[in-house]
Amino acid sequence: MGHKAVIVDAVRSPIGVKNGEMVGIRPDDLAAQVVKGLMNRNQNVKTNQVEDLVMGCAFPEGPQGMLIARSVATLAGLPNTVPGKVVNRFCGSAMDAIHQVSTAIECDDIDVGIAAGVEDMFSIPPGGFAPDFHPELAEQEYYIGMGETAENLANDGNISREDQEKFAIQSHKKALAAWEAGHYDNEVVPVDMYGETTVAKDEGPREPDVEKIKSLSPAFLEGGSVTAATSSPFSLGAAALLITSESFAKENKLTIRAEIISRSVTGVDWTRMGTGPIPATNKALGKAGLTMDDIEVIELNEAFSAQALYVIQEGGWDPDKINLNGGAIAIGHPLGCSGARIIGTLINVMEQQNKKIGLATMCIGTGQGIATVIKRP
Amino acid sequence: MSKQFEKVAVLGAGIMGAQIAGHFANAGIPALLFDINQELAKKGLEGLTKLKPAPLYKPKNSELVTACNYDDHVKKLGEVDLVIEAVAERLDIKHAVYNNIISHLKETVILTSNTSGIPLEDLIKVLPDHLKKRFMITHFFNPPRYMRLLELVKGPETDKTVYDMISQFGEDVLGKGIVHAKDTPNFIGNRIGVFGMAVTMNTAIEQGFTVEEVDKLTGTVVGRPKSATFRTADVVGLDTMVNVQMTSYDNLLDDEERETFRIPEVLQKLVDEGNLGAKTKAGFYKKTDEGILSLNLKTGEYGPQKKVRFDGFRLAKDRQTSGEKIKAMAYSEDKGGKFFWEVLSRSLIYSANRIPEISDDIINIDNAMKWGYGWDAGPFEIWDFIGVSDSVSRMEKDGRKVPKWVKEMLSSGRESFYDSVDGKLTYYDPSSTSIKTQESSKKSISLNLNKTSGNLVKKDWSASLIDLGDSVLNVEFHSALQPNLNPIDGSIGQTISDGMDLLDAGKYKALILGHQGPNFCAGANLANMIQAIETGAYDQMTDTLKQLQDLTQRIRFSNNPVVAAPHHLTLGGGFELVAPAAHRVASSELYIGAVEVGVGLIPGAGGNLRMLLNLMENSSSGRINSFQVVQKAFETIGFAKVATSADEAKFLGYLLKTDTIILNNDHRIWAAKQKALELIDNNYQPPSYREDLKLPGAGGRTAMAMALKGFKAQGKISAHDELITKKLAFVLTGGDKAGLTKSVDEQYLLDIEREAFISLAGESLTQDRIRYMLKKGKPLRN
Repeated sequence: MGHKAVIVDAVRSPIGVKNGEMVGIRPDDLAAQVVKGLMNRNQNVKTNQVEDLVMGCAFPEGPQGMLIARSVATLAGLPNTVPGKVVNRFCGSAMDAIHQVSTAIECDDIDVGIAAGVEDMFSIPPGGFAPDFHPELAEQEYYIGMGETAENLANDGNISREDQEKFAIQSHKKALAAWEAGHYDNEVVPVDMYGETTVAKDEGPREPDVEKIKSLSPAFLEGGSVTAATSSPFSLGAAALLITSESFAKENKLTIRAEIISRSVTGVDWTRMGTGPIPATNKALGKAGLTMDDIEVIELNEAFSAQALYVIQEGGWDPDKINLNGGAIAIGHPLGCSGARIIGTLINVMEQQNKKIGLATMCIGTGQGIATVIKRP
Repeated sequence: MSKQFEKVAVLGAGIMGAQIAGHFANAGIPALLFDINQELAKKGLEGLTKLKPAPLYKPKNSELVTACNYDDHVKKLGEVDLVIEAVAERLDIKHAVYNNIISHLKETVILTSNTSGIPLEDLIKVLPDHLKKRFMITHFFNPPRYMRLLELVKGPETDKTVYDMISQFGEDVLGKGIVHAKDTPNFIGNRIGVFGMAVTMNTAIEQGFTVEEVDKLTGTVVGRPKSATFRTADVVGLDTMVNVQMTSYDNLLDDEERETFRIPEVLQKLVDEGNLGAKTKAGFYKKTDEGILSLNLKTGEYGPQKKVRFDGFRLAKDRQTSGEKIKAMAYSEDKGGKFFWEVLSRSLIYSANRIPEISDDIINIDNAMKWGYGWDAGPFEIWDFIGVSDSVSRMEKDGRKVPKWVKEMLSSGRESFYDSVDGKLTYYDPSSTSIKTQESSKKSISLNLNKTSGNLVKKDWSASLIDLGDSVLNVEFHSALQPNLNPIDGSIGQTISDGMDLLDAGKYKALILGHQGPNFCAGANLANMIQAIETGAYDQMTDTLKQLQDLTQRIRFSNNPVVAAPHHLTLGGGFELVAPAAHRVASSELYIGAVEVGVGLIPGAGGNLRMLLNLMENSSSGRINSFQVVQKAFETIGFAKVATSADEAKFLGYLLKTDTIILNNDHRIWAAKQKALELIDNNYQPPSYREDLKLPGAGGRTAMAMALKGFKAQGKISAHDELITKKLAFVLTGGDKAGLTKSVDEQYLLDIEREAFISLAGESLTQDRIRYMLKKGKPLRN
């Protein structure tokens, strides 16, 4: 492997939630604004030097259809010489896009690429516009609801509703504190809502209303423990990273914010899809020749409190290293965007905490895990 | 008649003003809603989507109402053709408002007041002469969407054209029942209505009746609303009630019953203590955690309600029509009967004495009470029910003074106030002491009158065929056992079928399915069904269902148009009869729904096919795919959603977007006939049989089953709900034959629907639901 892939920059939109101001923007317009923001911040890279735009998206249909990567490139003002492709690995889509772009650079297929992700969970119904399920797979619980998989883990790991709520409350508090401290300033580009308003901050994080949280009924299972407050909310958002070869970065005097050390994907039991980060992380660490002790900070995507707590508990991970600026329970988990969102957040956290080695990992519906280890120069 | 008013303004965004504006919006007319500041105007507007019962046909109608305040927007009044003032009932305030707006009005504007008590002659004192000609009273009743009555009062200077225009507009566009009143205190409705309330309360106090006894004796059993007397007062608000009553007391110095209007101490005490009825949770009834208590009229204390028992009531209750019930109550010899007689006889005499003071004829008085107070019949119609001659003798024996003109009528040989002869309604006119024929608008076809003029083609137990002229035949439902709900029985099915035969034989060119009973059709006859189930007659049930399905297809593919004219409750099988017609002319007050899931079934007479076809047609220009069509049908039928207006029915898919909605329920049969004639004129062609129905098949059904599993896990639906809705999904997704690359035809859907229906009928939990519904009148969740 002669070429090294480095991350030059990472930006994202604020994440919008239900009844928020962002609902209503087209996902392609949203992603285009993020890509434009990324290029504006990196004037040393000419738009015609971008050799591919790879975009994660979990439900690439409706306004996310017709090869949204290419339409976003066009809307963002990139020349028509920039190709595009869409990657779908459900919740891991955008992280996979990063994997693909960095792999292409390492193989010397390209020198400069944009890895991005987008999801508008309000325009496309869950399951898509015309779901058509295989009856045999249905028998095997392949289409199990995500909430039910979280209930399974709460059960397996004996994770109480109280602990889940505590975790969720922490997620909100950390996110609010991070915004307050300006820790998201370098990560988020404001989004223009067709001239009517501008959204500059995440809409999800809020001061937890503990009484209300305690009063909620279980959201997925009668007598269960997972509630709306301990689940990542429906959301919309987009994120994009500029990835180049190390040599390109140096030649063009670009600041290298991080380099990609290792990548992995794994499959797990889909009825316990939330366990995915454990084997995926072990695999990525093995490839990098590292152990968990070497990892200084972690972004673990919070699909559900129960799911994140299960991974922390079973993996024996140090909670103090995890999601220092808050997680998806507070911010939201726009499926196809989140992988790029958490790697961008991880880079910023590492810079803020002056750490060298970080891990980003997430679980994926249908039972998968994905992980990336990065290192700051 | 076209809308002459393109934009209106309502002054005063209180409960009445806002709802009047809302009803204009229901009729598709934009309204400016004014109040003294923007907050009040906005509050009134916001109430339109919150108040119960809903003032709007659909929440979106609120977009037609604009909140305005006088300071910022008074110039906008120059844009409107009609201004309705509904501000506080104080002459000085009304005058101030008039003075403030006059200079901003269009030359051609019509100005009306919604006052219920202030004389017109006082109102117009500040108006310039040209506006006096364009001024009148338009008195709406609360809630204006639901109460049909619109009382109109003109002044000596009001232009006849203005008055006629408003009258026509109120009837045609707003769907109101117009009553022509005079400029007398409380006009007609409240004058007679409040007298009735007052005499009932006073008599109850004198004779020691309880609140709940009175409400039992003066409610549905005598053809009045369930809320009867005291509960009605609570709902109206006791302060309002006292105000209206005081208007009578203060202004009617020569009224022979003036003392009756004096506020009883117990009522005054309630108001003084702030117990104003439902809005304060305490009035004659009090809502508590221990249940609803009632007021002791003697002590003024609340206590638990006692069981009410009257033999006369029990007898009257079992009579079929409200006329027979009222008669039975009035002549019952027990304590309850005597009480009712006392109250009734005084009300009848009081009403008769009001001619010509408040009205020149009996018709406007009867209409006011039916449309404004929800009585099944007005005082003179009731008098006819109980027999004028007999009751007059009894009144005189009681020592009451019967109005002279009533006795004159009797001595002239006329035995009743009304009579139907040769398709015409005649009535006794006291002013001319002669018999007159009611002139009704040609739009108000009366099926009952039609039958008296030899137009009855066939009469069966529960339905009749009536010739409406112009080669149009009407099928009228009048269920023998449940004339209120008209469930489908063999007689109804057979009569429709007979009508179709006449149509096919070329005897008629079009058929109308519609009638003027209380409700179009509340669905299948569950009692028959459970009987069939209990005797194991499943084969017979299958045959009956097949016949009904075939009948609906016959309606759909008839070469001559069938127009359905549904109104009010149109549930289950009612929807299934209406949906296959060529066109629907629906009352705006339509409560339509496929509610079979509530009794453990799914639609069995083509309802699934109809819903799919309707949604496909309604979305033909949209982007909705077959899965979404099925999903929407599934949610609507699966959750047994009932539309609360014809507008909403279009949204849910119970009606086609092209169907006609009519606000005046009296015009419905006429409008259906006009539509039928129009279809004939335009060379009506039936739709073609669909063999190309694209439905999602097993894949889409599996996705829906996953969602159901989720609902079940969350405890939102029971295991039996899951079973029923899985069968529903099977039918709607096109069974085993449909799929992304395949199509099915109409008959296949009907066949799998029938199979699913019969198999559900065999489930014991479904049978429990049916029995529960028959016993309790509400669905069982099991």
